[in-house]
Amino acid sequence: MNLYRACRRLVASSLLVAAGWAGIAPVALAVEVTDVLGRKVEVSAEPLRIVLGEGRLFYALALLDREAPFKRIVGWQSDMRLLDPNTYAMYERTYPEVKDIAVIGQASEQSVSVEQILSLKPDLAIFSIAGEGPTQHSPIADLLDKAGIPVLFIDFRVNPITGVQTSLSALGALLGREQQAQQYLDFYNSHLNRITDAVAELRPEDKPSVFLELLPMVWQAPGHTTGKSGMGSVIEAVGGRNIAAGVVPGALGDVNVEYVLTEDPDVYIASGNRQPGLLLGADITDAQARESMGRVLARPEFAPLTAIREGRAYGIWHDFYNSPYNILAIEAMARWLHPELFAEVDPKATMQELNGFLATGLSGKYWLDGMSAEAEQP
Amino acid sequence: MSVSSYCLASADGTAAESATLGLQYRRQILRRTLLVLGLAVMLCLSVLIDLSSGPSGMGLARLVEGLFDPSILQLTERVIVWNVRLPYSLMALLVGAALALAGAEMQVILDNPLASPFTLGVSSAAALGASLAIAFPLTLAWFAPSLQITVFAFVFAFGSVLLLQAMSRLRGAGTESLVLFGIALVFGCNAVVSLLQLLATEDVLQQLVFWTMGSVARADWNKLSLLALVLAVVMPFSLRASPRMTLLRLGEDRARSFGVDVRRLRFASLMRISLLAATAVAFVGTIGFVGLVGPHIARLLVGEDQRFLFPASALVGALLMSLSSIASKLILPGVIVPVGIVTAFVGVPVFVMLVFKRGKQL
Repeated sequence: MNLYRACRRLVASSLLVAAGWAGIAPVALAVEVTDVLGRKVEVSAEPLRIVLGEGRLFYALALLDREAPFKRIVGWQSDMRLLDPNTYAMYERTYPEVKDIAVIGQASEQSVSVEQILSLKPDLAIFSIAGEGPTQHSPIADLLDKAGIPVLFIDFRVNPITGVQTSLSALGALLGREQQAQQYLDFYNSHLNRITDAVAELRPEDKPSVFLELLPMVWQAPGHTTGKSGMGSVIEAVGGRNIAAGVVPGALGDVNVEYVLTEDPDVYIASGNRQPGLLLGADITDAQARESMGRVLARPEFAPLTAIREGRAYGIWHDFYNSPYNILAIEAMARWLHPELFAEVDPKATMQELNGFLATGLSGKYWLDGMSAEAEQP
Repeated sequence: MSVSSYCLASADGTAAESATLGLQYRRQILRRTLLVLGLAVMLCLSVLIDLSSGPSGMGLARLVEGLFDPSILQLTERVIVWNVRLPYSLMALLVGAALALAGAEMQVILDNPLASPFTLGVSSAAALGASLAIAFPLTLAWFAPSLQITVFAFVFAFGSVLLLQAMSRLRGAGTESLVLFGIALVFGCNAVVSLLQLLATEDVLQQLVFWTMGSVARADWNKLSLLALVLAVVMPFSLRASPRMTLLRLGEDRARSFGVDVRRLRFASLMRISLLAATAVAFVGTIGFVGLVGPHIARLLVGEDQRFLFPASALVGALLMSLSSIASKLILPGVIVPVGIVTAFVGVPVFVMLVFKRGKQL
């Protein structure tokens, strides 16, 4: 009797220990979530072999699998290594196994090999609804469904703010990391709400006009920008008026230089991540960023803009457009647009806080506060 | 066609007949001269409209005033005039002229109505060069990436025509072989470009696609002056060769019987074509329609006499591009729609209308 009880106790407690250790319910139950597209996605047990449609979806996983961020990733595309080489290198120093992760494609949907995904025998595939991986209209998702591999769609780029909420809750639930997901969302929302609450009080005439130029000098013609979605919606969320919102019909387009000059926006923001444009991102120094921004602002086309002449020209890391860390961009931009209203908002401190969620924190220059053109153009 | 009938008629005509023929000929010449002048006037009008349209609403009067007295313009207006309106309009004009002239020459020397810098691989080769420069930029301090794109595009485009040339020399290939070789070049280059696009990351891909769409928003004064220089150098040679080109139009053998060195004529023409097309395409990207249809529209207007056809082609090409430039600003106010997309919208109606009017003569 005693022995039986002892055995039972031992089994029960070891189960509890195991459960606690693995961070899942004692019996692995099927989990079902609704993803950003409204699809029902179900996994029968906690996924241990995950394929990422884009390498940079790792930014989200890093928040959840803090202890061993690469452990479950069995396949991804090379886009993180190619597009964000500094962050990749930073992780590679701590986790040399990064380079052994199987590659399913280069950095585009067309280059993704379904057979390669299937051969990796994943128990979950995570795709972004838009971008360079298999997207929402890709036949790859249907094919994986047929093979019994659940596909979760997430989104940090089309609807950056709501996408973070839905995507991270779904990820947390499926990966057995509800707690970590919730902690991050609490952090995210407390910082977000401080801004959106104040913005809700603003009258339309208090909202400064903003021109966000994407990748100036990397792009071959001046005026490359975004309309209502993506970073355009972030401008609206932080209480600005994107001058391209009613003009650029699709996600991306080139506005006429003359249109920008006529609108003469209150604030100019450039995005960048590499040469020959604005240098921002991991491992970039303040001096490098400033020097590159000086070149961007010295171009003759936008030199007459009041914002540039009077020091209301700012720089933002381009890749925030596809990252759950976009709260940093939201805070930085909110401060630029409403310096009095958000005087106490401190994106630097927020970055420290965010780094607490990551095994390898962000370090480098991710945004650049006000600058004016170095010299007047003749 | 019309030229051959003149030749035959004057060969065995009587004195009286040749007098009336002479009168007819002079009339024809006058009509063609007037047509070319008319095109030039329309081009001027179109450029003026192009210069006066833009989202800031700055009118032509203010612009002209500012040109003569820059001090009256504010900084913003100065940038609008000197960095936006003038370079875009002039670039459209020059590119149209260069591509259509290249197309006209190409159609003659290859004796093929479908020949153009676009259909015979010059644009594709340029796109390949530009794609290589965009996908694998060299990190050289003295060699800016935007310059790399232009230089690579030019070198590849120029090289493609030299390759065509080498083919015809080496194998003594006829015009059909040249055309087929050009088409092979198109597919070869496009395949490599697609491969590069496959390997490219998304924003690089966007740039590749944007480059292939062709846009005058890449214009600046250096490019403008270079292209103007190329046109100014090449045009007199084209005009000087035009009577011999007219003879070539009658057939290679007949041209030879008139003492034309066909091989040299073809070689010189290919050099001109490669200079014109490569420079234009390197600066603005792929613009497909003008080089093919510009010469056809000109031919429907002034006929086969290359003395008129060449300048008329250049004018029609410039006019088409100028109209496209206007349209590219009007379709989505505030946004620049790449002009390469618009050229067909503008050119097709004009072309179809002319073909229907002339019907059988094409």
